[in-house]
Amino acid sequence: MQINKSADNLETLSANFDGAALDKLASKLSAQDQQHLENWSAIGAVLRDELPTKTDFDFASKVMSAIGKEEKAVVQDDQAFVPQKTSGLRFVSFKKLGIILTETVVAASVCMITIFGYQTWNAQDNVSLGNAVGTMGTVSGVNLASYQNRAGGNAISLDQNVQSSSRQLTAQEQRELAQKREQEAERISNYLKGYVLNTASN
Amino acid sequence: MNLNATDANSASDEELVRRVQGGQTSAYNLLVVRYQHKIIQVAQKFVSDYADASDIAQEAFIKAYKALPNFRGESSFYTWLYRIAVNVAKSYLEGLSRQKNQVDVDGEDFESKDTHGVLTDATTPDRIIESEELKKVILQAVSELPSELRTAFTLREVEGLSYDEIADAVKVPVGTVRSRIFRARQYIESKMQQFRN
Repeated sequence: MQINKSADNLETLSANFDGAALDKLASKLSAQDQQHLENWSAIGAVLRDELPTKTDFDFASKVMSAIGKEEKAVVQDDQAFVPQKTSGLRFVSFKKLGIILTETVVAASVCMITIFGYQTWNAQDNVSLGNAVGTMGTVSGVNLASYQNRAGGNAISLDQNVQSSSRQLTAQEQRELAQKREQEAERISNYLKGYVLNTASN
Repeated sequence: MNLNATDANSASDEELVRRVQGGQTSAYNLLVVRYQHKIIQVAQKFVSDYADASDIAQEAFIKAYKALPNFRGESSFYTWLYRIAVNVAKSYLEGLSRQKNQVDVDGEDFESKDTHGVLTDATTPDRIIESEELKKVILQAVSELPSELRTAFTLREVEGLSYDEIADAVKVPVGTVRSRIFRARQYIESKMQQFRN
C-alpha cells in the first residue's frame, strides 16, 4: 500500500481511531485515510472475533455518503422554501403598507376638511373673502367661495349672534336674512359632503 | 464478543457523540468504522444474506445519525445503536413476511427461500471463505509482530484499554504506546494489502 501521508499524520489518525487526540480529528478525510480506517477496523474485528461472513471495505464510506446526500437534500429543500417565504412576507408587507397609507390619506383629508369647514362656518363679516375666491375650486358645479363674496353689498354672516350695527333691520329683511343663512348653511354642508366624497374616491 | 473492549470504548464514544451533536460529521465516521462489523454481525443473526445484513446495518447507522441529536447518553452509544439495528432488522423481516404472504396469494413458489422467508445467497460460501482467509492473514501477521508491539496492540484491540492504561501496564510513556500501536497496524495492514492484491 502506498502511504503518501506523513507518518505523524497517520499516527494521529491511528490515535483518533482509538478515541485519542480527538482535538486533532480532521473535519474531512482523504479516501486513503478512510481506507486506513476501514483496514484497521477489520483488523480489530478479527482479533475480537467480530468479523461478519464478509468484509466490506467501503461500508463506512457508503454510510457517510448516504448521510451526506440526505443532508444535501434537506438543505436544498430548505433553500427552495426560503424564497417562497420571503416573497410571501414581501407581499404581506406591501399589502399592509398600502392599507396604512390609504387610512392615513383618508384621515388627513377628513381632518383638513373638518378644520377648513369649521373655520368657514365661523367666518365673520369683517373677514375679507375676496382672496378666497377660486382657492377651493368647484365641487359638482358648486363653488363655496362664490357665496362668501361680499361684493354684492349684503354681508352674509354665518354667525347668527352677529348683527349689523349700522341700522335696525325690518322684519321682512330679517326673514330674508334668516332664509339666506339657511340656504348658505345647506350649500356649505353640500359642498363639504361633495369634497369628502371626491377625496375618498380619489 | 469482548465486553471489556466495548466498555472501554464508551468514554471515547461519548466524546465522539458530543462532537457529532456539535456538528462534526467526521466524528460519526469514526463511530461507523468502529462498530460496522459488530452491527452487521447483529443483522446477520436476523438475515442470512450478507448483502441484506449490510443494508440493515446501513439503515441502522443512518437512523442513528438522524436520531443522534436526541441521544441523551442514558445508555452507551453501542447499546443504543444495537437496539436501533435490532428494530430495523425486525422491520425488515416483517416487510419480507408481508411480501411472502402477498406472493403466496399469487401462487408463486419459494424454492429460492429458506424456512424464514429470507432470500438465500448462492455465493455465501465464497464470501465466508473470503472472510476466513482474511482472518488467517491478519492473525498470522499479528503473530509475526515483535512482542512489545503485539502486547500494546492486543491490550488496545482485544482488552480495549486506553493509551493511558496501556502505558501504566507496560511502564512506558503514552507516546510510546501510541507509536507501537500505530506500527503494529502498519505492519498488519501491509500484509492485508498483499493478500488483497
